[in-house]
Amino acid sequence: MTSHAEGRRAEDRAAGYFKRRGYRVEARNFRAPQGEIDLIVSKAGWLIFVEVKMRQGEVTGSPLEAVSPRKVARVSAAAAVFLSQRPGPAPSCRFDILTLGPDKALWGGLRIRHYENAFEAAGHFSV
Amino acid sequence: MSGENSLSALDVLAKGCATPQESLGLLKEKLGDDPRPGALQLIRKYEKAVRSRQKEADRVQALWIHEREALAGGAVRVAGIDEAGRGPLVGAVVTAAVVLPEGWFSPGLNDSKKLTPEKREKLFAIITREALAVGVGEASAAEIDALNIYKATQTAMGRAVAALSPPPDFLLTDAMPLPLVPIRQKPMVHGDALSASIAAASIVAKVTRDRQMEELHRRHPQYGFAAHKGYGTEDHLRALRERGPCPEHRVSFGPVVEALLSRSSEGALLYWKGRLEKAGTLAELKQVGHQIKRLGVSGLKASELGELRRCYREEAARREGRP
Repeated sequence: MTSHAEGRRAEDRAAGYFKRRGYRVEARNFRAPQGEIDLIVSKAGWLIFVEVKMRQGEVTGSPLEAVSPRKVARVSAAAAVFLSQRPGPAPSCRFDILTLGPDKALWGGLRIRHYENAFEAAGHFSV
Repeated sequence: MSGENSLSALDVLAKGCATPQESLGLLKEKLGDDPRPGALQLIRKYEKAVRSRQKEADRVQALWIHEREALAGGAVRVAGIDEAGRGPLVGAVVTAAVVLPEGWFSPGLNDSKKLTPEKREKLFAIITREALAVGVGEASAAEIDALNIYKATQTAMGRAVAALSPPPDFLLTDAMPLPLVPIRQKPMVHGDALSASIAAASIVAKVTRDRQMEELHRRHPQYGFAAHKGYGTEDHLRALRERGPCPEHRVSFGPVVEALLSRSSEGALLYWKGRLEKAGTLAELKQVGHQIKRLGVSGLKASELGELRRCYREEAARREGRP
């Protein structure tokens, strides 16, 4: 488990990662009663909800393994709230995962992996 | 984006709605007669969700038809009653009576026969927490032997109803009339598939009996009760033949009688003697005496019968406090 401060630092790094690549940061740590989203960014008509994951060791397996169905449901619910609060036509949107882990090759460095469209929204009821 | 709503965003929004009905309303409002093929697909998807939600709701409501009929007829507390353990060769028959809040439902309730033990345990916890009243009643193996399984089940059901507080004023039973219970009732075939209350009662009865079998397994581990719950499986019958019945076996049931008789008559003698000595009260002793008369005689020699008679008199004298 990462402490609050570490999580905060990870989110800073994640926001930097997106900014350098020309994304606009729309919101950080967006909270709704039903859930929360670490980072919301936009670029070229896309609105992207990002789940930031800090990983301790060498990253193996799918990033989806790091996100529980419960988490997916909470992120989706918060995304729906964010969208409904936003004026104007709804943009295309997707859910990404950004993982941050220690980089073996670079001492003290971070290895960042960006998984686009990592999961789909889940609802309160099954469709 | 050309000022249009994107479909992926609408999908997220729709999923955030509380019900499929709301989602569909939202989509129709935002999309109207949007010409994109994806728009139609999205609407279709939620229409399907609305239909399946409706189907589930209909099924739930159908489970309340009989309860509602009774309520419309002036009843206030309608209890569903069911049993578990009529078939097994060992232990009590357990019955439960449950009064649910009107319209109550929990997923899985409608197919109690198909539930896994874990799912049943979960539902058991939910039912006992949320029901207005739950009563459990049982009739012991000795009572089953003395009465017959049908009457013993009725007796146990009467006890389950008596254990309900507050008392019910209408009973729904699974094809079992209770002539001695002075409460209006409606027996129905396949009741546990037709009524929410009976389905709930069947889960409470089954879980309670299964727990009893696990307890019995701790006392008599050689029969494998925890696995087969007392039903006449291959393993159970083999253990019965090899070891003879335990005091909780129903000696009025065919396979148990056969196991008793297939052993030497000394084995049967030892079994009956054990039952006489372990009988708690005079009434229980008399019950065992009755069973010996009905079931044991054919397998025993005259001298062994005489010995049992002597044993019975001694035990009876001890319980009546005579020297």
